[in-house]
Amino acid sequence: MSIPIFTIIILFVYLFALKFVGYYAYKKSTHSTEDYFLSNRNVGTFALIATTAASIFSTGTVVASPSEFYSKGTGYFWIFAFTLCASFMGLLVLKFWKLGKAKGFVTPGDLFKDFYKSTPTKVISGIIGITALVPYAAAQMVAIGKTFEALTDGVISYNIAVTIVFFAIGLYLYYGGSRAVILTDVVQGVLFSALLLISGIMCLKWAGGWDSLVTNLLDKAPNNVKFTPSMKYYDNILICASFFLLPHVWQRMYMAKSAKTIAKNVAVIPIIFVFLFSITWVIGNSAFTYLPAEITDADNLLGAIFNLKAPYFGSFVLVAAFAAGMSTVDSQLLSAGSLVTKDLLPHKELDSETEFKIARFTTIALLLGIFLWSLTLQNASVFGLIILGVSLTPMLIPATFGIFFWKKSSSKGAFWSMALGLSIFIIKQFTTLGDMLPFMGAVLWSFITATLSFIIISLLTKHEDLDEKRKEYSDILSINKAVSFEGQSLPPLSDEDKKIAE
Amino acid sequence: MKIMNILKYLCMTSGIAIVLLVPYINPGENITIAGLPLPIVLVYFGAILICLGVFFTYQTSLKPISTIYDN
Repeated sequence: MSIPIFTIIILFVYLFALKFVGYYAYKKSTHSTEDYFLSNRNVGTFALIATTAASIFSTGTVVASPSEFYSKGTGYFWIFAFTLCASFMGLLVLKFWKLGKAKGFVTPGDLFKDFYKSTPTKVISGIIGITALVPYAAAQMVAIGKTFEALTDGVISYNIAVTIVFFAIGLYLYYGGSRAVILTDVVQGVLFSALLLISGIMCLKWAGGWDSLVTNLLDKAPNNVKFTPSMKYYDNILICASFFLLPHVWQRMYMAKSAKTIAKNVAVIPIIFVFLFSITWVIGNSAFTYLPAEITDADNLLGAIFNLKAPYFGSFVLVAAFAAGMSTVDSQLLSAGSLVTKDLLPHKELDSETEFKIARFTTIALLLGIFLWSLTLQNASVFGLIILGVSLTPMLIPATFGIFFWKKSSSKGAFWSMALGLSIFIIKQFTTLGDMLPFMGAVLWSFITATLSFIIISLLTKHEDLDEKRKEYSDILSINKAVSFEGQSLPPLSDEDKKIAE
Repeated sequence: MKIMNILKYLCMTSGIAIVLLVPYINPGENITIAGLPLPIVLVYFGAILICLGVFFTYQTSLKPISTIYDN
């Protein structure tokens, strides 16, 4: 049997199995937006860790990461600062969960609107969220399309591959919503992690062991092991730290069944992260030992390695790329759908069934739009698209932390911090006027603009009107009242709990 | 608990400091660990320290607060 045919068979077996999972989710789901987007806030520990990991680790991990380590070396080492994301998450996630549960939040914008009492703030956060998610989701489709084409020797073209992804995701997204996404994320997350681990071990073996891998790396790419200080490094670190503010990751915190589930999630994610990215370092750098020439399109590195060394196993690597990409893009689409439905569309009082239908239609329409855009992106860099998407999250930091950690934050400060941060990002990234903003990249410029405007405008405008909200949030989040808030009897607090409460 | 609190801040701050400063650490090519130049190993070390810091955060604050929230 030829390798392309074998690859296609393996892939269709995999997609068929996914359909079963999606169908099971469909049977379990109910027709409401809360169920469609958040699985009725009932996701357990293992499923939450798997879906968060599967949503964070995308084709960026399986396809782009080995390529980046191969082509840029230490220029990509900022990715390990991703562990910072968990330390920032630790400050906020329990608050997100508790407030989400108490007040029925579905999107990040719901929190902004409720606290800042400002619809424009909700709308601008929705716009930032969608602008971040669309290129990121498109990157997944592009990566799958490229890997598919490389591993089938062009028998299945990029366009056909992207079309297959479109239908595969569309079907289970339409019927199953977040339940299908979470169930398939669990399957896909475990699958691509296992396949990545096996790939790493195989690559290390092909490289002739650790010593040979390192020697070849030092010989053939000495610049890949030297650090060159640049502001870009800090741009990317900021992106890593604020990654959890991407709407599809943020909403994972609303989905959790319990606070303990969230806490465990925060503790485990950075460990999985270091582990998986270390494997991609091995895969990428092992290529220096056995690949005969430099790869022109680094995104094809994985395809080139397995075409050369283990063509049949390459079919499974394609499944891993598929799994990683689909498990991210489905979460992102669902999240983008919720942002359009809840944050951007003018809201009248809708019944649950109508709102659910709008949500589902919007999600599928977004998928269609991203699919059509992806068809034009064959020559685009996967990593470039991902970075473009995630670059927008740092501008959400001031308004988000302002809710919980600054008593003088004001509605106008929050709105203008996001609006000016976004404007500066667009100017710096896409226009020639950006040359007037020297020394730093678009991410740092937009973050500094967002922070300064948040502080200055908050100090200049009225913030006392939010005092009532601050008290309400403090009541909900206080450990003492959290128990009575649920309407249960209040057990006496231990000294340790009192210290934490303080 | 007190020791874990100290370890939390120690791991977190040293891990973050290493990750932030590593591009400026240039000890020459002679210092290697497992064949790799020191700065590369330091990035891993910094990342692992942050992971430990997160773990101690879980033990000292996330776990007790979540227990109370869930009850």
